[in-house]
Amino acid sequence: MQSTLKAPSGAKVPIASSKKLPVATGTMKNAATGKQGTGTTKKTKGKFSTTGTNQTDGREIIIENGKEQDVTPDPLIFTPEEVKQEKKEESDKSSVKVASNTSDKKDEAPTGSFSRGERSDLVMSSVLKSSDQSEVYSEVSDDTGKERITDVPKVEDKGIRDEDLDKYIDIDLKETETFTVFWIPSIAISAKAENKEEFDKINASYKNLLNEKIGSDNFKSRPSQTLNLMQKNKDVVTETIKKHEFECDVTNWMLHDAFLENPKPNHELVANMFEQEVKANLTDQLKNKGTLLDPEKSLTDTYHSVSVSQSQVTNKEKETTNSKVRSSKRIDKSNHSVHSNSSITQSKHSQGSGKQEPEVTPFKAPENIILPDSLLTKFNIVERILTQNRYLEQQILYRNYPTVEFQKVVEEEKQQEKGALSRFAMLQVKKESEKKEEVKDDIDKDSPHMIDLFKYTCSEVTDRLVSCADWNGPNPDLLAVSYGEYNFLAEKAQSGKPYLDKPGLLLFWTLKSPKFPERIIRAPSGIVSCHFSKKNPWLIATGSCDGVVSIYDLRKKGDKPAAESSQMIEKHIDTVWEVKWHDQGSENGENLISISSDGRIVEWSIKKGLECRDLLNLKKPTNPNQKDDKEAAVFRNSVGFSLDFPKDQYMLYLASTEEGTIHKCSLSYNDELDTYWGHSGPVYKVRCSPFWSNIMLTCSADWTVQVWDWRRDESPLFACRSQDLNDAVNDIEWSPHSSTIFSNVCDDGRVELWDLSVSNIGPIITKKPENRSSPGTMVRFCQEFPVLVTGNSQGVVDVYRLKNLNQELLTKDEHKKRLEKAVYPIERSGYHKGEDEEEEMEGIVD
Amino acid sequence: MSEIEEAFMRIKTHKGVKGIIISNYAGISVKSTMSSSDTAKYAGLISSLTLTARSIVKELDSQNDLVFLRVRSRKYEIMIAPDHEYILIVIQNPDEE
Repeated sequence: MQSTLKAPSGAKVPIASSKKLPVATGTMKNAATGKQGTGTTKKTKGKFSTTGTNQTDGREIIIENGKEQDVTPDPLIFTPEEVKQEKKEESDKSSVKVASNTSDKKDEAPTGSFSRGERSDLVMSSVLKSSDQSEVYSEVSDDTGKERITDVPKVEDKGIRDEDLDKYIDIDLKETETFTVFWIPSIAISAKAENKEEFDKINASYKNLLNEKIGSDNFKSRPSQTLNLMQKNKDVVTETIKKHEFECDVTNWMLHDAFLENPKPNHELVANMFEQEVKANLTDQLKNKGTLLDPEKSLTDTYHSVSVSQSQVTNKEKETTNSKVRSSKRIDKSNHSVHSNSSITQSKHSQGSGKQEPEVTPFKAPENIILPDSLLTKFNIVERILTQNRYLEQQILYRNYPTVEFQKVVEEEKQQEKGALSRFAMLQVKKESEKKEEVKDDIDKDSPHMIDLFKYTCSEVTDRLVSCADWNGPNPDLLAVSYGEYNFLAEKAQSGKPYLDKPGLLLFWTLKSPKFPERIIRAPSGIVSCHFSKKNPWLIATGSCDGVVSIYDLRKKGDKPAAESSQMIEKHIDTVWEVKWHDQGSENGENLISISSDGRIVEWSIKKGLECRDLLNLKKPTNPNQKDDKEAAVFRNSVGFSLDFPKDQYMLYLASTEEGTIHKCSLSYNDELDTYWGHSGPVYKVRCSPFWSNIMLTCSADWTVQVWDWRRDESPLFACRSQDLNDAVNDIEWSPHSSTIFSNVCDDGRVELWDLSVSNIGPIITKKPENRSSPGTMVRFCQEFPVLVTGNSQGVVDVYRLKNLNQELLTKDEHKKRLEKAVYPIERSGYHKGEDEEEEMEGIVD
Repeated sequence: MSEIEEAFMRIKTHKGVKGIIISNYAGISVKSTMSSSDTAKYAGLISSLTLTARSIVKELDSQNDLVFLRVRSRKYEIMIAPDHEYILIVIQNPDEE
């Protein structure tokens, strides 16, 4: 615990009075001239005595202490001259001397190339000059108080003598004195210390003092306030720490899959990483200018391979980062990455070659992907939407909605997009299109016409004959169409082969999907007629070429009918031309009536399974108009083609035959009640008007359509036949919207629409097909919308929209009267009364 | 071919259809007729949209469920039919001639 430091004897210590100072690295050196080598300075406390009075005042600054003593610290830096002088002195003394000097001193470290002061008191410093000068000045400090007297240094020439160059130079290196920077004395002393008693006393007195302080008058405590310095805010702005968000969804099955997956072995992972790193390094190096590479050819190769590998790397990176997010049970992860890698490398290669366009390999799922059946409904939905997108205009027309104008805007936009057309050209185009529209409008504006909406057809039914169709009651969009060949002879003539009964088809079409039916039912034999039940709209009855009557339940899937007559004894043995459901009131329910080529009209009931009951056998009646009927009929039974029930008549029905007759029959009688003559050929269809049940319409192979009032006459009222029609009329139907409108289709493929209130000489609309090869076989009016459907022998069902027909909203009576007026142009007084009476009478009698 | 395969072929050959994708709700596609990069894009984006739409419908009425979603843009239309596990996505260009 020294309060002052021992100043080394040999060192010059710039000590100010009464101060503890670290010992400077005092250096012994000689001032420039005339200065004695103050090798030693007497060290006394606080004093600096030197022989420094010798010092000349060549110094710039002189410091004196209070006692007019020169205390200027000597400079630490030596000029070359000083060094030289010292050196000279030294050399004079010779290193030995120095050595002896040093060796005299106690515990001096031996000189040599390196010396180290063992004593902490020794202060040494050495200045090493550059090799040029090769002057080394070493200072040896002396603590013995010995003064080193040196001679006055001689002034020497600058430069080094050759002798000096070869001399050995000793360098002494010693430590500086240790000085304490920071010192906290301990507050504990050993119990066995010498001055323990002293300290005990001090401690005790202190405790006393503390005790005395309390309540004593000698001591007063007083708080003081520290000065709160004013604070200054200092803001620091740093760059934002860039954050990157990452999130992913994890589900249970993802976790499960991750567990099940085979993890890559560690060495493989390491190898991959290594590869990636190597490739990354390679690319980096290639970018540098100084890389050594092969001549240019291989350079491009390496570049390509690097770029490819880089893409692979990036892909792999992508894969590895995404693989945690995306893992699928069905897709093998390695396969997936391989596929994508290969596809992308392929594309890279091709891009590099620059000749081919980049291949885009479509995504290939593994072969064993099985789509779940639950997706089927979704597919259907999507199909419908696609259809809607494509056929939007037609569907709007079908539904009788006002046409939308946005279509035009889209077209204009498209034209703008194309941009190839100049403005002038665009205007021209617009004008032309407008002209066309105008022209069209002029022609068709007010006259009734048909617009082609869609064609219900698909690959299944190409070249099949559309035999019959029926609309579903509750779902007016659904159209059941039956396909089956019945024109045996014609088929044979065309193809030259004997006719083979092709399997029949029943397709369910809707405007929501004109390209593919909602459902397909296949039957063993060609279906010739079909009819939806009104009471149970999921039931549809069909009659086929082989005489089988089937009833299908559409709620069930599959092609098997709910009931069929193939196993029954009383079944029809020939083509069933028409099946019709007939509601006979609450007692009997709805029964099916069928008519067939075997001349029988049969009633079927499905109450207890399929049961049938013969209603009638059509016999060949003798034609009262032909009196020379000498030939006896070979077959008594005649072929029946069609039957129809007049509206609101439960018991009566009308049947048409091949002989050209129409019979009025009753459900309760086995014989015909009446016969109507008028046709000269087989009567294919008989239809009663939905507005006025008196009036019936028949079509025949004799090129005519006849209008009858079957309650009044056995002869037709008039015939409807266009001038140029030279073919059989295959089908007719009354319009459900207007009492005087009906339509017919003919063998030459034409569709005609007649309005009896306008004219009964010619149709108001005639539509002829472009090619005359396919005869029209079916025509139906849509119940809700102004739409007409026709079928032909090529399997195509055309859907037309009727425009500008005179379809006023009239009551049923008004319709009836209109029809009357059309049919009976000359009104007779009392006619109507008579009519009603007759009806009533008939109802009773028959 | 199963019914589903037939339906798939029919939709594929429908006029204006650019592509069909069947994906799951995580954005992974199971079957697709488009390139894998496009497929990944569509599947990823649309699956999240479908989830949102579905949650809207279900939140308004828990008994209800989303049947169909249509995104009509200027150039084309995306039709989305979600199932329990899968989403059927069809991209169509309806104005194609």
